[in-house]
Formats: sequence, C-alpha cells, structure tokens
Amino acid sequence: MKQIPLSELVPEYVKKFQAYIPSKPDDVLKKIFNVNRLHRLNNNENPLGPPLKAREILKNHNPAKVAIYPSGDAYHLRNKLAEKFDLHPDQFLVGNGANEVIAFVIKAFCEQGDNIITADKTFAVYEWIATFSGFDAKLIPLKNFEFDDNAMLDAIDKKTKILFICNPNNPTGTYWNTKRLCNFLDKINGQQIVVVDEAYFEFVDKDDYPDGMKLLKKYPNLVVFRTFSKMYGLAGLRIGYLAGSMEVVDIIRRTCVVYSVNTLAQEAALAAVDDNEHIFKTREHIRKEKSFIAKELQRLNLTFVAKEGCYIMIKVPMSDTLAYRKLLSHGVIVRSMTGFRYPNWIRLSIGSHEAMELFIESFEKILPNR
Amino acid sequence: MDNITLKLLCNNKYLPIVLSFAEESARAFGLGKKETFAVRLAVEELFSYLSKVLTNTNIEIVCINCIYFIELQFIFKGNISLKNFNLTATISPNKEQDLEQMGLLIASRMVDNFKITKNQDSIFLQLIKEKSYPSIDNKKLNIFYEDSDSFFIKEPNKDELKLFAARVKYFYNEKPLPDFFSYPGKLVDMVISSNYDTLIAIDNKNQIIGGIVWCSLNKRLIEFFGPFEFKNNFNKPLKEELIIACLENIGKSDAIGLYSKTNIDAVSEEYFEEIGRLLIYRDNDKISMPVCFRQLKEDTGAIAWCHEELKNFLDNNYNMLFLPRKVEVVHEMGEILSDSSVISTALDRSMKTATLKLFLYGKDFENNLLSHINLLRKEGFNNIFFEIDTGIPEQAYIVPALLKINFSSKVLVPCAGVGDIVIFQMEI
Repeated sequence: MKQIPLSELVPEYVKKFQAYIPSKPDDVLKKIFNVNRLHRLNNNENPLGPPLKAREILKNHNPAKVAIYPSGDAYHLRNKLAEKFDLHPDQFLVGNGANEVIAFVIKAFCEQGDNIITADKTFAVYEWIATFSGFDAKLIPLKNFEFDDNAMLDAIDKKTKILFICNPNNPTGTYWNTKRLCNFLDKINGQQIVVVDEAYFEFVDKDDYPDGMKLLKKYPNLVVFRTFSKMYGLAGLRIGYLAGSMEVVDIIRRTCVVYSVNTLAQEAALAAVDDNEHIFKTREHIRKEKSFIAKELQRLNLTFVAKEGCYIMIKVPMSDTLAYRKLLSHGVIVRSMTGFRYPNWIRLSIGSHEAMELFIESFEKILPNR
Repeated sequence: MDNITLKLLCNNKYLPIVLSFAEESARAFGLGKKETFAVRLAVEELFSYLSKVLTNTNIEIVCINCIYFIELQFIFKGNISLKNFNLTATISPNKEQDLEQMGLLIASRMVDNFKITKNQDSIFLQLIKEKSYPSIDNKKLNIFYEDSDSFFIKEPNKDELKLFAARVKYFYNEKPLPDFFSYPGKLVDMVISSNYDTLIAIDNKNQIIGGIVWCSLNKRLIEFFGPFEFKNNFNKPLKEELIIACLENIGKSDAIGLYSKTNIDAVSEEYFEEIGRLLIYRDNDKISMPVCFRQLKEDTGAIAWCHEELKNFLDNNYNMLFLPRKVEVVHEMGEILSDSSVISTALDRSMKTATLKLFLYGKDFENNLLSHINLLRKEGFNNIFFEIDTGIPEQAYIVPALLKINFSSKVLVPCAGVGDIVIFQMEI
C-alpha cells in the first residue's frame, strides 16, 4: 500500500496543532470509572434545561421534516432577533454553535501573517481556530482574573485584525463594565474588529454590565457573539449567532457556511428567545446554588472565584487532573483546568441542588487530611 | 531541522561514497574532529555489515542536524536477523560470521546511542553522536547573592541560561544531575534545538535565583528537572511559582503527563503525585529518589496488558492513582515464538545508568537479558532499569523472567508509552 506523503501535504501550523479530545459519553465514562450515576458539572450547561416553549417544539417535532433542508440562513430566527434587539435581520449570522461563528469571523478578516489578540486564560476556541488556520494568536495574561485592556491595546500591531474579549470571561467570571468596554472601543477607534463574546450574557444581572447589542450603532467594528447553548439550554442542538454592523456582517457572510444549522435548532431557538421567565428562574437557581457552594467552600477553607456566569473556579490542594479522576470515581465530572493554563484549579458548573450536594460530599472525601 | 539524504543500493562498492557522505555531513553539522572520526568508523562498520546481509536492497541514509547532536538514520526494508543488534551479541574471534558482527559492536561503541525502530515494514537504525562541549570548572565559581525580596519568571537568553546551568551545578553538585548542567553550552544548544525548554527566576537585583528545565520524552510525556532554588525568602514560594509557570507553558501542549525521576528539590505534593521511588547508585552512595507525576489532560481510560505476576502491582497502583484501567492478563498458549529476542539499551554513562526495553520477544529472552546484565555490570553500570509498556501485550510475557533475574517493579508512569510504563529496577 502506498504511503500518503503527509509531511508534504500537511501545513506546518496544522502539524504543530493538537486535536481537542472531548470527554467520552456518559455511558462509557460510567463503565470506565465503575460508577452507576454521573453528574456532568464540566460544560456549563443549564441544569433547568430548555425553556418550556422550546420543549414543546422538541416534543411535537414532525419527523417528516427531517427530510427537508433547513432554512439556509435561519431566516425566521434572524427576523426574530432583529425584532428583539431593534436591528436589521441582515445584521445577524446564525451558526452551528457559537464556535462556528468564531471561525466565520477569523476566516473573513485574517490572511497569512495576520494575528488576533485575546487573553491567555479564556475560552480556548479563539486561540485554537486562529492557530490551526495558520494565524498568530497573541495571548495577553489576565490581570487579577480580568482581561487586561491596556496590555491588549499595547499588543496591537499592523497585522492585528481581531481582538476577542470574553465578557463575562469563561472561566473567571470577571467582566468589563460599560465604561471600560466603551473606553477600549474608543481607543481602538474602528481600526480593528473587536469581538465581544457574550455567551453568558443572560446570567449577568448587574447595572454596569454592557449590552453589546446596544453598542453596535456607535461602534460599527464591534461584533457580538451570543449562544443558545447556555442560558437557553439548547447545547445539544448546537446553535449560536453573531451580530454586527451591516457592512461588517456582509463581509463575514462571505465565509459563512450556509445550511449548517438544523431545523429543530432554529425552531427551538425561535421559541426560546422571548422566554424571560426562564431567564429569571435560571438566574435565581444559579444565585442560590452558587451561594450554597461558596459557603461550603469557605467552610472547607478553600480558595475560589465565584463571579458572573454559571460556574465557579476552585483552587484544589492537589493536581487538578487527580481531583478530576477522584471526583469521577464518585460520579461527579468537573473541568480540570491545566488546559486553561490554571494548574490546580477546577471549574465547577452550577447544576441541580442534588448535584451540588453530591459534589460537596464527594469533594470533602477526596481532600487530603480531612 | 536540516537534513541530508543519500539513497543507494546497499553494496559494499559504495562504501567510499557512504563514508564521505557521513563525514562531510557530520562536519557540516558542527561535529568536532574526534566525533566526526567516530561517526566515520561507526558508519563504516554498520554499512559493511548491512551490505553483507542485505543484497539488492535499497537503503536510505539520512543525516539530521539536531543542533547538539547529529543523528544518522539507515532506513531499509528487508529480512535481517535483528538479534545481532543486541548490545551483547556474542562474538567469537574464531568464527568468521561472528567477526562480521564484531563490526556492529564497534559501531555501537563509537556513538552515544544506537537504536533500532520499526515503522510499518521499514527498519530504522539510528546512530546518535553528540557534540563535545567544555565543562564548568566548579572550583572557579564563587556565587554570592545580594539581599532581594521579589522576583519574576522569564525565558532566559543564551548567557542567562549558561549562568543558570553553572548555578545548578554549584548549588546541587551533590545531587544526581543530568550531565547537561555540567556543559552550559550544551544546554543552550538543547534549548535552541527546541527539544528542551527552560524558565528562570530573576530577582529585583537582577540575579538568577532559580529555574526549571523540561523536555518531551515522546509525544505523550514531558520530563522536568528541578525546580531549582538558589535563594529563598521571597514574598511568594519560588519553587511553586516555577512549577506553575512550567505548567502554564505546557498546559496546552499535546503531552498527557509531566514527570520527574530526579526529583532533586522536593516539589510540592500539591502539584504532583509521588508514584514510587528509584534507588540511584552514585559512586559509593545510594540515594532513594521519589518519582513524581501529574497528568496534564483528563484521563479517558485504557486497557493495561499484564502478566499474572504483575497484576497486584498494577491493581494497587491504579487504585492509588484513581486511574481507570481494564487490566487484561495474558497467557502463553502454545503459540509459535521467535527464537531470538532483541533488547534495546539506552546508556547514560555519566550516571552509570542503563535503561532496557523489549524490542522483540523470543524464546531466549531470559538468557539474553542475563547476558545484558552481565555485560552492563562488568562495565560498571549500577543503575539498571527495564521498562515495559502496558499498552503492548507482547511485553507482558517477560515479567516472570524479569522477576527471576532480580528485577522488581518500582514505579508505574501513567500514559508514558503506548499505554502506561512500568519501571523495573535490578536489585544489586
């Protein structure tokens, strides 16, 4: 059999890149770790699930519709979003999860030799997509768990095309307030694309927290990401979107893969988008459970960071990968954070109260000398 | 990395071309006169041997510039008896066939490492020859530190790296250190080659007060040396900060584990799991060295192939480390075995350490291993290890022979090979 000359076929930047290996499915993990229950507290999913109207859509979905292609550009959903945010439907692009729209933006603006700027300890997908596409990702260290605006501005050079800010940041939960974000955008002065990833927007209930959608008119170089995976509990359907000025979105649309969002996802998102009751209920649940976990962690005398979002970072007195394995042997799965460049920290997603109690019970058992 | 390739028929009439290629490549890649001569001699012996056993076979010879060493690869397809590549292939001066094999023995002694690997149906013979570097004269060093109270961590430049190596040698001279700390120029080249990485700590008086070194052993495992601390009493723990900086650096690499078998300056238990101890014999001393490890990724489970006699060791270690492994016991059931086994040997002469691995299992394994041990002991190697890989079923069969010859299982390093690696140490 002829050998494929892979070393000649594969670009250097792909050779250097390491594939992300997702965790195994629950049934496999249960078998491997010999447990009969598994609470997934590693993906920041909504423990309350999707809103009621979205559930109805899922329940009543006509299987025959699966044979028909979806709307190629999520027509009805874009119209709905335009109505909700008082923007034009063409200012939205819907993707197969927010991950896909990150790729659209990078492909639209970067060419060989260009770079993007983001933080070193944030959602990894901006860095990944830039790197495996052959672009440089300048990673600016967080300062006190926050994106460092001045250092990001200082890092801009002639080849910088996009700056990514995760607001609130995953995993630290810190955020820039409206004044700080506007100040940053003023200094950029429209010279680069600024992406504000608001994947956890609906979880933040603070007066000074900026709504990117409201800033689009003033800052045409701003692109806002939102998702239905977190607050709206549609992670399994993979649907997210971006919004920006007409001229910027028109460019991004050229690199956008049409028909990538399935019908069920579009319909469920359409049904979910107006459900404010679901948002209030989820916020209340997260607030209550975060407060429960915070008290327990204080009792255990452990360092933690519990800011915005549906997650908490906890410093563990052992290697985080060992904590991961030990917790899994108790049926609890958390995110180990060496891969986020936070060695010996774990990220705990807020789950049901039962899951939170089980986490604390298991956590106490795995801590040394207790 | 620069490399030069020569493709030809494996025939002794081409020997002058091969020698000229090896010599000129070695010189072009910076080897000194003495080392170039040794390479020439090794290549002469190896090519002469191969041209006798491989007829009408195409061979590719690649010389790779690895900055601090050169690697010569002989790549071919063909059926040759690999048993002659054992370190101990026996030589009788009265037998003509044995005299041919003498060449291989000479070749292996002329270079720093002589390895055989197989990739699909190709055989790779690799000769490695290191450059020589001037060593530090410890007696000339007089290191004095001014008071300081803060520090930061950075990647060193070339000269900082040399100063750092000298300080490691000065402050840790009594410890079993890898030889590159004695040759600062070598450490610089190792970092330039991208095989090694270093971070150093600098205080507010611009003094180098510590550092850490690491290198990839394979795609899955990184070995680290340190963290070294030359001065303490700072507002934050220096060693811990060096470990964190190292982990932040490699956290997104494709490695699965980080380990150290020369845990010289006890590292924080909070960052590593102690996975066992190795006894290091050095001159007349015997030092018990803790081996520490941590995973860098979430473990996704694996099968561990094992012999009945190793099952308890594996079960205990997997339980202690909370590692999800399905232990499968192998049994010989009358199947055909190769007559000859092949053992690969890596030597660290400065540390008197030999690490053996199974290359090919065969009926004569126990005798072959005994011959290796006798030869190594005769040459003064006191630290003799055998590593077996739980991801390769064939390797499980050699456990009874290892135990019989006084090896005992000491350490299980998770994810260090195809599966996990069990390090056996010969009791002396």
